[in-house]
Amino acid sequence: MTDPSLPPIESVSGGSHGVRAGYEQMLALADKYESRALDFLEMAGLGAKVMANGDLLESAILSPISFADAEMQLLDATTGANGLTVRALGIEADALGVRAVVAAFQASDSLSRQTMEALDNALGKVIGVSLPVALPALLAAGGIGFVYYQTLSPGEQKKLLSDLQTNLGQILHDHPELAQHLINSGGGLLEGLGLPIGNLNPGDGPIDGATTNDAARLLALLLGNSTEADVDRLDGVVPTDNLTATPTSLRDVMQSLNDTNAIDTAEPDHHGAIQIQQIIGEDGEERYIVYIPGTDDMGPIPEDGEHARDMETNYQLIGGLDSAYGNGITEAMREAGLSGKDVMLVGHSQGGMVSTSLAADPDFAKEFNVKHVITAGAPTAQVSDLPAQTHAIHFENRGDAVPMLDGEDNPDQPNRTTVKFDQGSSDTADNHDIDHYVSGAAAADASTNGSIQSQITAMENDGFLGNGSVTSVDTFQITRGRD
Amino acid sequence: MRPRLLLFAALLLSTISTLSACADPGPGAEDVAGCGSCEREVADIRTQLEALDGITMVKRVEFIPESPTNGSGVDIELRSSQPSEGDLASEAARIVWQSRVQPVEVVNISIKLADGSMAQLLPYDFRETSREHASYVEEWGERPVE
Repeated sequence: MTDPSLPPIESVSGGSHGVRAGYEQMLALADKYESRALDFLEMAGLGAKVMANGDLLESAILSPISFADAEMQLLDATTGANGLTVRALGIEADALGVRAVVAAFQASDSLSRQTMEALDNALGKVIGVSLPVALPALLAAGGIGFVYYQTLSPGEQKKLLSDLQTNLGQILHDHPELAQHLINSGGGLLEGLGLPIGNLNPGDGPIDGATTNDAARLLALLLGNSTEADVDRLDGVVPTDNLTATPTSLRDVMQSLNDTNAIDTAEPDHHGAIQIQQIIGEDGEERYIVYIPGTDDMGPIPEDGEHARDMETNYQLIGGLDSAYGNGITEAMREAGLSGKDVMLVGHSQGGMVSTSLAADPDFAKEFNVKHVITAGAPTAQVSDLPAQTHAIHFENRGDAVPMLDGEDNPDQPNRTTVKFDQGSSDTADNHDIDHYVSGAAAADASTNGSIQSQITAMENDGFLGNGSVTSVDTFQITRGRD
Repeated sequence: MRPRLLLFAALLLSTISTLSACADPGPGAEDVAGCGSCEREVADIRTQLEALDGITMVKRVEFIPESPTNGSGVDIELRSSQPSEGDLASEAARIVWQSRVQPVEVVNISIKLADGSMAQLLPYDFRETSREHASYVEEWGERPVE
């Protein structure tokens, strides 16, 4: 019998066992040291008060030797070489030392990030400045290449393109960091071409120069930057068994997202469909999981002006802007009665981007109690900070180019875990497919990693996994707003 | 400034094209003729699934065409009278492998068990780049369609 196997998990960063969580634990330790040092100092002061006690001083006349002995021992215990005061100073020094180490590590992390951003920006600028100079040579080389291509038979042309794509895909799979740096140089590249992209930089990036996010903002503006959405309830969609069963694992949740994603694949008129699963817990409380699929229309020019899940939305999300898709999801959640309720957002690709973006939006977080976010194959580093009450787990398949479009690693937050697994190949487009993320989620379920298990436990404790029963599944269609 | 604008336009298009590569069906995909909406092939699969022991209902068998977010394939929903899935999923995958549905990159099988819970299954990856592809060929033979 041949059964599929779990993909290996390559790395886990962030979360309860991540670096920043470690810093916070070290700072908590320093707090404890300081508290203990203060206790010792207070106790040392108590010794002096005891010696100043009137009754004790009067008793010194009756037993001067015993008093002197007691006084010496008390002074030794409080202000002596091994006394409480000296020990308190030592503990205070330890606390300062721990704080200094944490500060040094944090400064190093920050410097490292700024350095990489600056290097990537500079790389882009160099390429941008060089391009006009090299343009004639590039055009000549391109022309020669095109002439050669035309001399090949159709079969040879297909093979050449296929080989080229496979080789590029293999490089991306084998060296994802290279692709990430190239993408991260996008802002510098446009600056190098002399475009006034700096005007779009709101100064929220790690460097003064333009970043990939600024470049995405420019592209969003060029495509119109529209944010109006229409929301309609789709009554005829029969939910799958996965969606009507209580989710018990990350795999279950990802499989349900796959089913939501298939709605418009099977029925193209249902593009922009999302599903909202209501779970009534054993405690009688309502919880909701919102399943949010990714891009429908990948064309550079919008297909029909109706698709909300298009490239314009992608650029808006990477650029940190509002989008029609995000506004439509908000409206659908409101219509389904989720205001004030505990919710979990689950998104693939663009759906993951918009989930993370909404969870970080203060207005959205005020209206909906976002307890958890699960993303698959989504660039999410553009959202630098998630609220402490929201847990997020981000899945990335090796060789999938889409999660790299943010140009950098995901932020290391104690409430935010990134899981990278390898079910990738030289076929970059396939690596992004949602089925890989069902397998990746199952691998996480089976993992003993502390950060992953903390996320799963939190979902169970919050009533989203293995708790209660599913009472309804609503389907909404989000399209671009009609003027 | 005009050459720079031209260059920017080219750059913009190439960026969009790169991002649009996610929608590309992949190397060699254009060689696949496919079975269109595959209605007859899917009906054949359904008939064979209904004949499997322990199946109380074949809720859904659907051909899923390729999209920017998933590979082409077949989605199957089964309900079983058994407390565990046993080798039902493997049998269902074999039926799809030996069917004439094409192209099939992935097979998603969901099985609702007798107690109402869902079997914890993984997608069957039929792509040639898959780590399991060789073992599928070894066990089930070559696919009947190119």
